[in-house]
Amino acid sequence: MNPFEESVRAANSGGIPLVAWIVIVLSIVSIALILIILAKNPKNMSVPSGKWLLLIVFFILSPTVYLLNFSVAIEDSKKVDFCNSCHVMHGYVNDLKNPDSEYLASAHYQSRWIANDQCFTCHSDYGLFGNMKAKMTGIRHVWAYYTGYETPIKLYTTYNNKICLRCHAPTLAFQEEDMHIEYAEDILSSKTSCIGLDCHVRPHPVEAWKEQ
Amino acid sequence: MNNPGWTRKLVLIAGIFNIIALLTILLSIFNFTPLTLIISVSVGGALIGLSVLLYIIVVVTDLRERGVL
Repeated sequence: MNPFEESVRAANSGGIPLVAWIVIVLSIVSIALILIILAKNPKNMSVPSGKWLLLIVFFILSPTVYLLNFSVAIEDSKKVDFCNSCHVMHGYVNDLKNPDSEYLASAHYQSRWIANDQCFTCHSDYGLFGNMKAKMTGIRHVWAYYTGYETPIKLYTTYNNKICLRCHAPTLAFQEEDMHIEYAEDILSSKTSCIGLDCHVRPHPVEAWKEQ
Repeated sequence: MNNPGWTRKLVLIAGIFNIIALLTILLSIFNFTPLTLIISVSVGGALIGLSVLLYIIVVVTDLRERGVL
């Protein structure tokens, strides 16, 4: 990794976020309280203070820790490094960072046309349900990763052009392009893909999945 | 909970479940991978839910013995 990319990465990550620190502290406090009440002296659970402390741990602290961790997980799982933690993604991420790559995803990544969370941005649909759908698909991917998957890796369905259009459609350069005007209906309905034919180059190398 | 030993055991089990759940969450914070994430969200969540449920049973039993419920 070159020093500039390293500095950008450091600036973006900023170490463990504040919410994660809160999760860590609350978890340790909860574990300590449970151990003090239950392990040190079992009689503690018979006294009112012990009962109330356990009630606070079980009903407030632990669920709060869980929800905060969930929000941290939702954000952190959008990062490119997270996608790259599965070996099968190494080829795709390596190509994103390859200065000689001519693929579409690489151009978007290296030119920072998408500032952050590049994998997630191009592989999730619009709005809240789009995000949730992407997360559910992610769980499906993890399951497939550990139980076996078919190769070559491919999308479950045809790529939705609306994902490209949410950034490109508002731009004048896109709107004034003759081919876009001519095929507007097909592009909007994803009947004609933005990628392939004589339009735009592939997003990733065909055999990226082989590089693990 | 001045009642039978089984309620104490339930509280103990709830405590153990809760500690395991919190440890899975800590694991996912320090080693954030798809596997630790899913374990913390699914197993951790289920164990926290179970510990809450067990403690509710203990509290209800305790209140019944005291004649509150």
